[in-house]
Amino acid sequence: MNPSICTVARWEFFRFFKWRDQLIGIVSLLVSSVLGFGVVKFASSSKAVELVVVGSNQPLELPEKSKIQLRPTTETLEQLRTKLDQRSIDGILVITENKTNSSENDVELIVRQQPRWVNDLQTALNAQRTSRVIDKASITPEQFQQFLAPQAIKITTTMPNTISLADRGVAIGMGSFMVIVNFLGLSFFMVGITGEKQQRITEQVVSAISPQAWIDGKLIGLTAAAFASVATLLVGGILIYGVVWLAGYGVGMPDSLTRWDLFPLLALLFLGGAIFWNCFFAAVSSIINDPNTSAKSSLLFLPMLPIAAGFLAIPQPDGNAMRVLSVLPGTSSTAMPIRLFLGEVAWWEIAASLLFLFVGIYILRLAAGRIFAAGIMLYGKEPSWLDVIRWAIRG
Amino acid sequence: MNKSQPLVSAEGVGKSFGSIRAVQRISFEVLPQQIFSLLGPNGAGKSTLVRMLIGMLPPDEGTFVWRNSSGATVPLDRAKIGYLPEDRGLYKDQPVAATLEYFAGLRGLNRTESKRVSQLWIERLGLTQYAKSKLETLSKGNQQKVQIASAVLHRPALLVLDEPFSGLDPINQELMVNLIREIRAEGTTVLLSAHQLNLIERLADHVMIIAKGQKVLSGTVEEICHGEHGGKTLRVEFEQPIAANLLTEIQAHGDVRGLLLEQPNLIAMQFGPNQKQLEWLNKLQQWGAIRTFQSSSTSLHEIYLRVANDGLPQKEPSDV
Repeated sequence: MNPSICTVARWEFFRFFKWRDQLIGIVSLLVSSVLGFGVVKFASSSKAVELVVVGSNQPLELPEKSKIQLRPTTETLEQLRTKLDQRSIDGILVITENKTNSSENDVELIVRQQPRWVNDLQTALNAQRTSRVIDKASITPEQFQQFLAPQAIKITTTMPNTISLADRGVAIGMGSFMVIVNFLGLSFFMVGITGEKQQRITEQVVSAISPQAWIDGKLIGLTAAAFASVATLLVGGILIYGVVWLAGYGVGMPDSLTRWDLFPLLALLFLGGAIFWNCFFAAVSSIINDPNTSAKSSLLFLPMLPIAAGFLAIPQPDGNAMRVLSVLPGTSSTAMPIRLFLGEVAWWEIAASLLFLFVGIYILRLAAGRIFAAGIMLYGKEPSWLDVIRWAIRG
Repeated sequence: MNKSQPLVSAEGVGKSFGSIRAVQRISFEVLPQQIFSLLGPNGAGKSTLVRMLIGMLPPDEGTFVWRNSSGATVPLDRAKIGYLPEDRGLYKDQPVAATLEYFAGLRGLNRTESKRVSQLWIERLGLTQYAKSKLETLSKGNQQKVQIASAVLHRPALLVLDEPFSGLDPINQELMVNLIREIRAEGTTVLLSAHQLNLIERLADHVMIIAKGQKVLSGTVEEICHGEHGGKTLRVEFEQPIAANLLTEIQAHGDVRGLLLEQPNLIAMQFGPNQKQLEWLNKLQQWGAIRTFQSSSTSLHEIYLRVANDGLPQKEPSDV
């Protein structure tokens, strides 16, 4: 490889990927997650709620971990209201028999402010009401459950593995990973190239190396910086999961994450997709003088449309739209991983996807190099679309 | 090094942008270890010529011939060129040392060598205390020093400096002049484009003036100032402001090469090398009372103003 490409790649990587910033990011994530769980733990361990029940001797069955403590009383409502105002109790539950329908109760909850624990009380009151209705109807609780139960459907799948919700989450995670990589690539190229144009750095660099070597170095360095930043985020995510797991909220590893055979293919698709779009970002950034005023800036968000389309097709991973998207360069890096996890993919589809992706990269890299070579030297007036197309074709 | 063989020769190079002919069939030679100055008004085609010379733009016509130290023709080697463009800048959010190491790397030096030469130049330019500072925190003069170091730290065979004095105060201009001399003394050929003609007069071994894309004058400062386009400048200060009809009458005489009204009562008249100023003084006395007069050799500045405005002269001193 041309040594100047390595020099540019190293420079661009460390220009945007700072170890110190990444470490600070991870530590901040960890601290905030630990603090978050600390707050949750503290909130869940807060003092019990004392609720005084007036007018009913029927037992209320509260959920197992409920903080509500029910207490019957002989005191008058006036006395209880005074206690409520003095904060000696947290609430008064008044249960009276409905005058028109004896199987129903009227329930009033008197509290100082809208309570957060009302759901537990609602559950308990619902259970009490159901029990009363069953008694009145002279049926057993089992008969009542049978009456409410939906028709069971036995589902038989022909594929060896069914897709769990966790696997679906992994597939979405893979797509999101690519979206973040693309967004980072967009911002790195935008800031990098238009910044260099605005700071008048380009001419000095181009006097030393060819524009193609420069863009190649940028593609390697900035793509690596984008992946490294997302990898840092993943490390942060894993550490946070560790905190969650330690707090007792962890879940098992999804089956799809144990399919190691897919990982080399996924790596190729992710890397290829990122380089493909980064070529595009480099070309567009080089023809923009000022991102705040240029109408061409909006073009940079074009790659997000097919990626979003990939997400929309998740419900039907093997539908026609998804089949096309998983083969087209630019969308294959998002659509193909989703299909690999959620659907059935033929070997030739994988081969076609990789072939089109790498041919696409080759063509786009050449065109981007030509546009970049002309665009970076052009200050002042932005080129017309006709100019850009002419550069891409003829150089 | 064979100093009689040019380091680079331009042979009838030309470049057009659409219907605009930016550079028109220009030929010149730059000798090894020479300070070659390229002069011309804005838009004359200097930057286009420089960009063609260093391979950033292909010429539409003509060629550049590069020679090595033994005089053999060689292809252009970008690693042997240092370039400080007119439109220049640096990565403002990056440290000084890292920036210099990067540019050294781009010019083909390995990492160890890049670090060594960067450190060397940081010390040489008195920037040691700023080595780890971001460029945006440096003064403009110090930023300019880093800029020139980034162009020269790989010890190029040819250093091209486009407007190296712009934005510098007189003290830093003087520092730059000395630095250019030192760089030349170390064996580097310098091609310089600038508008500070007093500095060029002191620095340049050879001057080429271009205007409207054409070469209008070329030679050493001595040749230009004492050759056909040189001569004498007579400054005459009158007691009273000069009447407009007097200027018209002077201009009507073909033997006055140039006339400049420097103040309401002060004129500067340029004469060829063989023209008699005394006769003119006598004539002028008849038109108005003279307070003072002074005769001096015509400066490069005065010649530049005349030829750059008038366009092509009939002959060039170097051709005489």
